[in-house]
Amino acid sequence: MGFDKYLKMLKAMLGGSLVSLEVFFLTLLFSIPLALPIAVGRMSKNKLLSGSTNVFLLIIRGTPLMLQLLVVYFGPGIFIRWLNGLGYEIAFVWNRFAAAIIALSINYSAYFAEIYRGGIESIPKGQYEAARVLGFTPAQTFFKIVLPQVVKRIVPAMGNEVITLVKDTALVSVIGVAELLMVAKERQSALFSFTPLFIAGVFYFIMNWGVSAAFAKLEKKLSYYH
Amino acid sequence: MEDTNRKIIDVKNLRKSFGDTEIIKGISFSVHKGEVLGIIGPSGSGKSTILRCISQLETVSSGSISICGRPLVTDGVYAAKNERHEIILKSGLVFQNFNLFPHYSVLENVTAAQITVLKKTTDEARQTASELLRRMGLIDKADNYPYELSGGQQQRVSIARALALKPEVLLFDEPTSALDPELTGEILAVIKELAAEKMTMVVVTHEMAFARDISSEVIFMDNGVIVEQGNPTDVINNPQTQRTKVFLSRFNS
Repeated sequence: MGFDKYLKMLKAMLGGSLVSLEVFFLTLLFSIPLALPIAVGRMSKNKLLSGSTNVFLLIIRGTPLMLQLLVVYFGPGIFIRWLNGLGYEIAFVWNRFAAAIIALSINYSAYFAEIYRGGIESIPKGQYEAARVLGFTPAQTFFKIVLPQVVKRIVPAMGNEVITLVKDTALVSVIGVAELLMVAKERQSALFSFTPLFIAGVFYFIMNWGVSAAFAKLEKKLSYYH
Repeated sequence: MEDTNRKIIDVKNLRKSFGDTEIIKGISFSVHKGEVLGIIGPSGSGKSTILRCISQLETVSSGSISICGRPLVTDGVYAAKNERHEIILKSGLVFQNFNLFPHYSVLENVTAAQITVLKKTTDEARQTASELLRRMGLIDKADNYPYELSGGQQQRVSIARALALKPEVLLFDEPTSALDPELTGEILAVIKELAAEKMTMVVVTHEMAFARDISSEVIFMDNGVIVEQGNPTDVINNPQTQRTKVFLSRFNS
């Protein structure tokens, strides 16, 4: 492989990695907070709310992420075409990247929500009771007493999910988002070389190394109490 | 003298059921300022449930509870939310299992509610907390976390935490039951000291000698009712009913 070809490939793959990183961080940015109301809804005493949240979780966790990407990307267009067929004139342009972020954020918030729920339910009743007799409101109890302890308990499980997310960013290529693996496949067929795939593998590996290190650091930081 | 006659806790015809099981079957008593009420009796007799009803951790089925003259519940009907919040701060509860906040240091455990609930400044809260920890002999543990302390030390922190809100009455729910026998002494000493300072208290305990020594009045409960009530020495050393005699036989023999 010639040097400039090599350079060109690296440049393209760098662009792909940046897209993968963007997908990764944006998904975390949206799904981590979004999972909280979902977890609270799942635990609600209101049967309708907890029931419908449960159905949502079953669907999201029970179907392939790749299918969800396809539905979020192609679904609205199909719906609009159907509306137009009924005589409405609606112009619609959908953005692949936005669709990818929406689908991944919804998917991951479902998994995170179940982790949050497990964490919240593992906090002993005595913590709520102690806060209550000291006059804490339910909201104060949740944010000052329960949530900080939940964070510590869920860090290992969250680490697992976040590592999976790094690898799942590769799936957005199915709706044409040019992330790292898609670029690597293109380069591989164009150059008839295994090197791009190898480089992609190294990138994911290094990325997850970083994620593991970050979570190990977080666990250590939270180990000041038991 | 009028002040010492003030009723701090007034319970009338209290009933509490869990499902079909009635745990408390119509109980009335009152505690005046500066008094220490000891509640003794076998496990499952409803002793702890009484404290939990006073602290609003359980909802009564019927009856009335007033704290410092303010009705918390009247014939089964509860006061408004704001009023209940103010009433909850009149009493402090010390749990059998301490229930300290593990993510807070000893000092933070004692300042948290002062800052969050009473809206005190951090400096004020720390000052109050330090004084209380000094009294509890734990000032050198202020920056430690609960897991680093012995059970007895943890329970002393939880007493300081309750006292930090300056409650009118302190409720103890078997404060030594989760402790090693050699650690119970330090908690009993603290409660004795509070009694000497005329702190109004209700103490649910299995420590008979202790109940006799610190209480101004003792209630013996069995099966959800008060079986015997009165002067601690009389009730514990010279019980009148058969049930109380049986329960105390091991202690008095």
